[in-house]
Parts: sequence; C-alpha cells; structure tokens
Amino acid sequence: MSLNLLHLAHNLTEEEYAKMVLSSGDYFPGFYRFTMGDRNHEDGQLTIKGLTSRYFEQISLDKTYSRSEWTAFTNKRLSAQDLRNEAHSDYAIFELLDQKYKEWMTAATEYDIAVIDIDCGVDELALDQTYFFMGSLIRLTEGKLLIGYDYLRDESTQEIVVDTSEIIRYTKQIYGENHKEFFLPADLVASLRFDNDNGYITMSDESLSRAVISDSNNIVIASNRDVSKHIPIRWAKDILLTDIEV
Amino acid sequence: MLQGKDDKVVRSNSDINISSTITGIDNEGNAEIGYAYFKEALYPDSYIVFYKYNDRYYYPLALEFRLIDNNILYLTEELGINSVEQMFQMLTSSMNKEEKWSNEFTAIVVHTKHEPKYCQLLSQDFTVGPIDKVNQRHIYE
Repeated sequence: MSLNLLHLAHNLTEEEYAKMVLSSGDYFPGFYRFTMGDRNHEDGQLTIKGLTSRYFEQISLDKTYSRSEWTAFTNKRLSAQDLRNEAHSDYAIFELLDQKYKEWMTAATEYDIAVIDIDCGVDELALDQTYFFMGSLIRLTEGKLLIGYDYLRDESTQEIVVDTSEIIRYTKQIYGENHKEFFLPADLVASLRFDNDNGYITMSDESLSRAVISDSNNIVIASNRDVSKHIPIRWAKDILLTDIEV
Repeated sequence: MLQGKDDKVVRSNSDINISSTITGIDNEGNAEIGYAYFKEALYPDSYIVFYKYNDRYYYPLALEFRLIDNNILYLTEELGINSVEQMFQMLTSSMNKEEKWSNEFTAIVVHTKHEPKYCQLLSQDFTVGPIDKVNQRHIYE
C-alpha cells in the first residue's frame, strides 16, 4: 500500500482530508498521546463544580487564586513521577525534556479548559455538537467539519467543506459498534489567564451553561494555550489543574 | 482519489485495531504504509515526513492524525523541539524503553514547488540537521 506524498501535499480533496482525519480512531494513538481509556478523574483534579465555583467567586467577590494554587495538583503528580523516573527511567520525555515538560504543564500564561463527557459517546455524529476525537475537538456544522473547535470563542483551527450527511454515514460505517468509544461529547468551556500571578477565569453565558449541563461523569482537562491554540490536536496529553479547596 | 491507491489510509471498513506507519519511500515520493495490529506494528525503519517550501518546513496534519508514530506537533509546537536530531533521539528511546524495540527513524524531506495544503508551518528555527547525524531522504517535486 502506498501513499503519494506529492498528492498529499497538493491534490488532497477536502473530503479525502476529512476522511483521513476521521480514519485516525485508534486504541493505540501513538507517542505522547493518551488513549481514551487513560482518562479517569483523579481526586483533587479540577472539576466542573470547582471551576464554576471559582468563576462565581471571581465575578461576585473579585476573588482569584494564584498559579501555585491552580497548579498544585499537577506539581504533586510531577513529584511522584520524578521519583518513578529516577527509579525506573521509564519515560524518555522526562529524561530529555524534563524542564520543558514541566514548564509546558505549569507555566502557561493562559490555559484553555475543556470538559469531556466520558460516558456519553455517540452512535452517530450530530450537527452542532462538539466531540473529543483523538485529542482534537471536532464539530460538524451544516456543510463543514470544524477541527480544533473552540466553543468559548466559536472558532476553529480548520474549517473543511464537506457533505455532512456523507461524513455522518462514513464514521458510522468505519467505526460500527465502536463509534461511541471514539466520539465523546466535549467542549472548550473556559480559559484561565494569569496576570501578576493571579488567575482570571473567562467563561461565556453559553459555555457556562454547557459546563453545568455536562454529564455527571465527566473530566475537566486543560491545554497550554500559549503554544497550542493553533494546532488541531491539543487535548491529547492532559494538563490537570487543581480543584482548589476553600 | 487516495482510495484507489491505498484503501486503508482512508478507511473503508472497521479495522480500528490496525495501526499505520510509513515503512519505506521511493524516489517518486510514494510512501509505503505498513498496517498491523499495534503490538505487531513494529518495523525496523520508520519515516517521518516533512515538506519544505520556500526555505520553511511544514508538517502534514493528515499524518499527524493518521500515523501511529505521530504527535510530532506536540514535540515541535508545544515543547519547542526544533531539532529533528533531538526528536529522533526521543522517539528511538521511547520505542526502546516502552516497546522494547529498536528501530531507526528517517526524515523524508519533500521539496515542493508550491505551498503544501493541510500542513502546519513549523518554526523558522526548525532544522532537520546534518546528514551524518540524522538519517534523511530528499524528494524533489
């Protein structure tokens, strides 16, 4: 089987590109990407209740929290991983890029925050719903596949013109009974921006509503917006912020 | 149509346990794709494609999604690794430690006459590196 790289560069149609992207559902998604099965809520990581409570505190009481408070959960996990790496030297990424990795997780000027309804995978894609798919947030609107969709700002990294009925039929065809494992309702619902060590949350009325109607079994993950806002796969490796206790 | 040449890179049936990676390349730029169950999808040679146009490198988004040895943009854009030499050291080390497998990575640099579509423009600092340190093949349009 061969793939002509010049065809890939110049002659790929929008439909081919969309189908190639949608063909990437895989239980073993490659280096440095988590599979869906890895996504479970851990005690202490940010929750929707924690996010919305801190947001209401901010808008009603002007109360904000510091970077060390927001990143406490991640810092705790990194400490545990340091010990494990010293003992077993498991992950090359930690060995070669320890400092960059830590900075990527804990030093962003701005994080985007997404909620994924992990138990609500769908048997068929619907228009105007966002799905977590292989580390990206994708959304079908009439006539378009949006890749890297941002619900908070209503923008995406790519808009591909497609026959949406054909795309819906296609994903059902290739994923069959496994469809629901690959397309999980999800949305980018908030951002957290630091200014002088104070973290300010931004949500819209729509994203706040989206957040509070999330399924009870959801996870909340973050992405380092400084370096990832322009790329389509930016939710493949989680950054977990803290459910700050007050 | 891609499907006429390779009916798996654009899937036509439910083969979700099959992973894909580039295992070879000819002088016309035809990349050989290996398909296998993940634990069997270990090939002695793996190829990572970059396009070069107007003295800048691009990474194809379709491959970022579709190939198993992907998430290259996590390394370049998010962690700021702009050296293929360092990238290949990491990938080789990961394969060795996590899969107990030794393989060699090769950069395929496809020099195009026009800007490639559906690609991420990489940093101006991005470099493939010297030929004595980075396995590389160059294809010219």
